[in-house]
Amino acid sequence: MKVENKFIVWMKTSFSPKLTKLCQNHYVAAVQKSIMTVLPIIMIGSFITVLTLARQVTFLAWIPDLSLINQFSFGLMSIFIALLIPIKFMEEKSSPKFKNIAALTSLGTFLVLLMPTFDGELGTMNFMLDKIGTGGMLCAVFVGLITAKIFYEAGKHSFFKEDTAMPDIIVNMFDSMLPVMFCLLLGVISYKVNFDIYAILRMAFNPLGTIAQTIPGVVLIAFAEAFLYSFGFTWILFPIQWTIWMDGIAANAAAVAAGGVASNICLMETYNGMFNIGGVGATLTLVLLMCFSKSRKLKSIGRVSFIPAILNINEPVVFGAPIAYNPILMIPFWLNAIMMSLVGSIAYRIGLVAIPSAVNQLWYFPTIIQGFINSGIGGVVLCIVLTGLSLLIWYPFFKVYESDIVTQEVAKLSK
Amino acid sequence: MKILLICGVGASSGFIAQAMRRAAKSRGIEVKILARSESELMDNIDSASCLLIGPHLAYQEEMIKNSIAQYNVPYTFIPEDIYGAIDGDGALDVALSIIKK
Repeated sequence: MKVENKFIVWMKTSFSPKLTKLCQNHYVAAVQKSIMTVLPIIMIGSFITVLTLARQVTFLAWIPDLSLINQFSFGLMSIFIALLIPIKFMEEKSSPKFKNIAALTSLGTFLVLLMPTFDGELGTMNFMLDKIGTGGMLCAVFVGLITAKIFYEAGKHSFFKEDTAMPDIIVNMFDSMLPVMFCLLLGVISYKVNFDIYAILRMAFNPLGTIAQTIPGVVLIAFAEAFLYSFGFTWILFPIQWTIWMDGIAANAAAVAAGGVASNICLMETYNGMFNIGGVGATLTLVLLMCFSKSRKLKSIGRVSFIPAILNINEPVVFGAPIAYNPILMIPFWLNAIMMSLVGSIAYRIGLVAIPSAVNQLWYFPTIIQGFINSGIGGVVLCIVLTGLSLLIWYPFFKVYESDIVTQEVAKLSK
Repeated sequence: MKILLICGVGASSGFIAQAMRRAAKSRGIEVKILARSESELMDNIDSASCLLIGPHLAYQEEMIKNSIAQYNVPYTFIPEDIYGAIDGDGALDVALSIIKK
């Protein structure tokens, strides 16, 4: 057996099942689903970015400044996550009994742990903006999961026997009160003794965020994403990527607002808005090659996946060509992920292209348009260069694969 | 009849759903076809006649199976070649075959 085949078999029989098990973990799943649920409301911020850009054009200057919408969508992200995690966790566990009360308790506990300050005279409670926005996400995930677990365990027990004379409403109220009390008490105690869980989590996460923002970090994440995708795992890295991305863009926006320069390059705006031309692994040019292929199969798949590819959706071509579990196309798929992110990062780092500094998660816009929105003309040029490079990487591998398929097709016809 | 499709964010399954709607129309079948993100699965499963799942979510089968167990909705994964070719007719056949059972 060839080495590459041995590797594929090992991936199928050993690696995949292990990873599958990890993904089925209810905690992991709850975090992933919460983030997916938040996406649409975060996307609103991207439209505001486009509008803000449009306002700079003289004849569109009449468009009002709506950036406050950002504050009340993107800027409340941690609050959304803290609310959603217990709900998603309970749904995963098929144990919806306390899901709403768990969500509310999670929110209450999360807010205490952000250590708000009170101003008695003004009658206000003050939160740091960063803590309720992207900065508090780790804390929100942490509080959400713990609360969910506490309520899940509490849901299995009751203070009363099943044949109790007590009306159900009383039973339920008492049964849910204990976990509410427990969570809030933990929160309030932390507050009183000034035990700052938010700060501890941030500190623990800091090294990962810092490494991710270096060029090797960016490339490694791009490769890992493509590698996992080529074995059929599509959304695994997303929660981690997303946390790093959101932190990165928030810091860039803050830096620019303060008169400084954006410095983070591990962003949704750089991956989905630049490196992933046509989807992860820069498959747009592969689809183009397929559209004009001599093979009937490749040609028809290329044609149906063309519009999705323009919109950066590449599941059809990944499973149709296929790239997944196909050694000949997997290698250029990984290679593209590496080269796009490497060349792209260097261009951002040395200042050839402006680093994105406003939220833009319009990943289904063609990358060349996103490049323009995020980085102006420089973004357009970089996108063209990367597209050309990806074509060069795909071409030789595609030719080998195509001739295999054509041979098969001819053999089939002559039978 | 309602056929529910799910994938990562409901983007790629959207293309299949579109192709299936066309296929259903040309066959004269009255059917509602929805494409959703897998995070919205539980919000839409209730009245579905069957559930089709993108092949790239195969690694989540156990979890999906458990979370929809109470609804008794038949489900299957869309075969990769049908998904890759955005073959609405093929996907519709798959859906109808599991509904009948």
